[in-house]
Amino acid sequence: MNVAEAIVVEGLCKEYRSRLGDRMLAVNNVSFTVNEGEIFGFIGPNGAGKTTTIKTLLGLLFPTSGKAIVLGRPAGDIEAKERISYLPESPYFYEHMTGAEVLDFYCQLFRMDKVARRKKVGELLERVGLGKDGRRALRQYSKGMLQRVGIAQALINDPDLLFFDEPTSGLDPIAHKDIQDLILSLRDQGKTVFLSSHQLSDVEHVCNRVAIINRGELVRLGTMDELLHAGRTIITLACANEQLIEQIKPLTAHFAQDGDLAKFYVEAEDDVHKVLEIARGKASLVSVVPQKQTLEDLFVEIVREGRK
Amino acid sequence: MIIWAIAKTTVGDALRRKVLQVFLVVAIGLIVLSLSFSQTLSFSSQRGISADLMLLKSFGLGMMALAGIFISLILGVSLIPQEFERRTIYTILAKPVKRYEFIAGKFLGALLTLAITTGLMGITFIATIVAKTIGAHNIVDVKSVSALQAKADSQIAFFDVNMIWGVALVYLQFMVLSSIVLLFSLIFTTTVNFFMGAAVYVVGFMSTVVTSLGGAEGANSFQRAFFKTIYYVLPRFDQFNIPNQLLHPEAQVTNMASYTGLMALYGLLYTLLALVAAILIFERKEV
Amino acid sequence: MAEGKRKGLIALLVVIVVAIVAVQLPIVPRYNKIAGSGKNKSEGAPGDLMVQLPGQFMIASFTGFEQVVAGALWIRADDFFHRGEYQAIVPIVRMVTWLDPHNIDVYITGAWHLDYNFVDEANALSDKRYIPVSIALMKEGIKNNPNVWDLYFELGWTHYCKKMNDNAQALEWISKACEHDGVDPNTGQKIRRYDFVDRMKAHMLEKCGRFDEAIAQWEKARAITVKAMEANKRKPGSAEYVDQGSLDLCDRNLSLLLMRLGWRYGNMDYYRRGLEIAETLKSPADWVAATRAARKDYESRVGKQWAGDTAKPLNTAFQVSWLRAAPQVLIISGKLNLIQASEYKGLASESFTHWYATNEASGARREAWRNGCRVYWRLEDYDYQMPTLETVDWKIDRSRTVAWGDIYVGDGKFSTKIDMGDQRDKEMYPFAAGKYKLTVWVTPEDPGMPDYVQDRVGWKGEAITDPNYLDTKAHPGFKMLKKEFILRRSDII
Repeated sequence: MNVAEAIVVEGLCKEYRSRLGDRMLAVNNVSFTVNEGEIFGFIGPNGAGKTTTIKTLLGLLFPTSGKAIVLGRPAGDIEAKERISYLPESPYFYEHMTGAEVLDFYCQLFRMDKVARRKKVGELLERVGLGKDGRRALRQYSKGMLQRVGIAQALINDPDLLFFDEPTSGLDPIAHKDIQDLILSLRDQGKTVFLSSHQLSDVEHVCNRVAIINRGELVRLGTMDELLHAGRTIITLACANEQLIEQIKPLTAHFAQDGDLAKFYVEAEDDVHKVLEIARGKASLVSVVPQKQTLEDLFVEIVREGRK
Repeated sequence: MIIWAIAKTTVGDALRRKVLQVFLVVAIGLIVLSLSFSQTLSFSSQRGISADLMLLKSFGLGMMALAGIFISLILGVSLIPQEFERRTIYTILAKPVKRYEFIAGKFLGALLTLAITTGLMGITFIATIVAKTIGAHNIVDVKSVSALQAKADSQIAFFDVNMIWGVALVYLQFMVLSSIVLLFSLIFTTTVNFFMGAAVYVVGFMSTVVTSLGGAEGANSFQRAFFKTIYYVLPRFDQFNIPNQLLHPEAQVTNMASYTGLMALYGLLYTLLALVAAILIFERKEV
Repeated sequence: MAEGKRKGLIALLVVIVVAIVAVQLPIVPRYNKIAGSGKNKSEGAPGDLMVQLPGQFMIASFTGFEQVVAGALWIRADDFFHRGEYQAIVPIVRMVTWLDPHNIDVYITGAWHLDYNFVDEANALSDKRYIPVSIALMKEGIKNNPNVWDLYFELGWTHYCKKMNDNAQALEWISKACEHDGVDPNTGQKIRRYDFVDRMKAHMLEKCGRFDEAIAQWEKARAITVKAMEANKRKPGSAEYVDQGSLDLCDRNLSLLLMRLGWRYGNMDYYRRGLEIAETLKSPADWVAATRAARKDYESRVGKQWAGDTAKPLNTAFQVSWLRAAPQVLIISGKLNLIQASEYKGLASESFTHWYATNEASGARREAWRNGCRVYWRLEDYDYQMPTLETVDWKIDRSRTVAWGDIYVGDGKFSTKIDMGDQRDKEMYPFAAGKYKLTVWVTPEDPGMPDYVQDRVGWKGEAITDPNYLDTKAHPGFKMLKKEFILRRSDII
């Protein structure tokens, strides 16, 4: 295994059996790697197998077959856990504790002594903007504040690899931005971030590579450039000439008539010029609009394909 | 350190549970209320205050035992499952925490919680006895048969060490019960576990009945083996429950300090058994 | 977890199981001892009583609240007592002792109930058919609580001595009481048995005519009292409270015993020893004066041949008859020459006791008699044998008739009317048998026999003679007066 790889997953399968003996393959032969220092996006619809994969990497679940290596150690290994952290979706902590107490508790799980803990807790509360709220009980915290506590507990051990599951879920735009900035700063520090999120704009913005999982299978993996094509151009002509339309149609992916306006969706750049050439002098050009594919577009497309 | 950290958190969380607090408050309240119980047994040959103290002690021990059953069951059935429900377990096990450390921490937390609740009830119980005994010094029992008896009434000492053994035995009994229920919580659902735990207690308490069932006429060898197995496998809760010996020190046939010590060892071994079994199960449990 | 560690844990499980079995080995016999010391518990609750017990009591009794249930039931018993519903108390006693076999109070009180409180309407006589039950109950209590003195003493004193007039049995059980100390039921502290227990043994030895043992017992009781007083000094306010009065009691009783042995049987050595002890007591004033007078008497007799005050026979001239005053109403009457005041004149004991002199001083009309002797009567089915119960069974044989009582003798005469015909007493006196035995007797062994009678006739009735009813066989070594009548049912009904 290449030392520069933070996570290696090969042929990972996870099968669940119900009490009645029914089998459900939650993760089916998934393979991918995550390089050190990158932000890796892991997206998929609900029930696709994202959480199962993450839990397997954290050692909370045991794979049915396949391999999962985290920081060079088998998934779930204690030594690896010294260098990783996990922020679950909508984290829950012991309500009776204050923010400082819960962080202190987690520090104890890293066997930190009292002096070190006190220092670390202070630093983390400041870092996540809870310096003044550390003595309040968690039951008095807002959702955003709880998320901050979650982030703080994920930073206790200055981990090399962080697992973030829906880190911006339910946050206001400012907090949302703060999280994004944090993730980027972590990358700048050389950390590896494994990000699972339904906020596809965030994923598109921050991730180096993205894996898309659907129905337990890995369907796409690559950089944004690799995953998203250039998109298409929409040429709108004021034309009702059916002969002209039929002439242009073979060069387009899609055509729509809106009264006198004919919209042609052209994918290849060369074909754009050809269409304009054919239409010159025969119809009025209303507009030529290039349209780029988003990750959301790709996601929706993949999911729809999966449903067919 | 990790085990202790988890234990402390468990105690803090458990003691704040409303159900537990209600049982504890009700039990303590009833123990205090029993101060007002009084028997005026005019025909009794024995000193009047002795009869009151007997009632106070028997009621207090019984109340602690009854409250202990419910507190142990409630604590045991939900302590670990709650970690799953609230998903706090994910952030803990994602840390470098060995699975056995988590389980051991929960067990220790449960035992400490039980010790605190039993301790609170026990202190209240002993305080009520002392309060009643202090009051005795101000009473001259006019129904005493003789002046000698009246004099003896005034010389009742303050403290009965048997009540300490009583409180200790209550705690040990429920240490074993809650350990078993904690183990079951890794296997059964909460509701099933509650009734299983109660069943274990009842059968373990009635072990002499189990023996007689096994030895009944007409029982075949399978039945005999079955009841014998239950008799030996299930903890014998009746051995912790000896109010007669505690309340009638004049009839004690064994040294209570050494008996309590043996029962403590028995209780610890059973707790350890449950803990090791729980560790083995939890190591393979998916979270 | 590595496979090796896993196997290690499984091995540890096995080791723990073995350890649990090993720990059970010393626990089980101790627990069986604890559980078994309430033997009646392991035999199971009396079935029909469990049916009577309300459900919540049953549940409570199995959930560790048995003590509370026992206490609650005992309070109900108190209630029944106040209302005079004595019958209801009996099954409660049984249930409470089953639930709480170490509740000494219940045994004592329950047995007392059985012996004393089931009385008839007309005569206030207790139902004697319950006596075997009460004794069985006490013996069960002793079996469950063998290490404390209380129940042994109560059985001996309250039941055998006071109820059955059986001094020998009373002595046996009181002696057993003297082998045990007590425990403060409130604190569990060991406490010495009350000092009167040892003194009572000495009294019973005296009554049984075992004088040397009685003397030794008084000396032992005295030594115990001295030790207890020293303990008091070391531990003020302790439960072992005795004072000078207790010590004086020992000295007084011992001196009287010794002096009586002198007065009654002419034993001058005992007389002297008794005087020496009596002279150490400086109060009350009449004791001091009496001792001085006794000293003079002693001086006057020492060196002379003298057989004691009981050497001269006394003809009791016992006469007794019965008649039926009404159906089931009998009158027993007669005469008994115990004891004319003139009998004391010139006796050695008179110097101390003034039995004669105080009569002389009683007023213008001299009383010829010192009264207080008692005649006993017993009416029972001819073949009635008081059962000895192995276990407590409160269901008595209600077809049997047995009754006994005593009659006060005054001015040499006695008479009593026994009304067994009251409609409300039908259950107690069924008179189902065809033949009955009526025994009337007088015995110096009667625990209530006054000292002044024994001063004249001796502990064993040595001086008693009677031309008609003297009985020396009923209790060898003792003399008593006895007359038996055989009655038919028609004589009574």
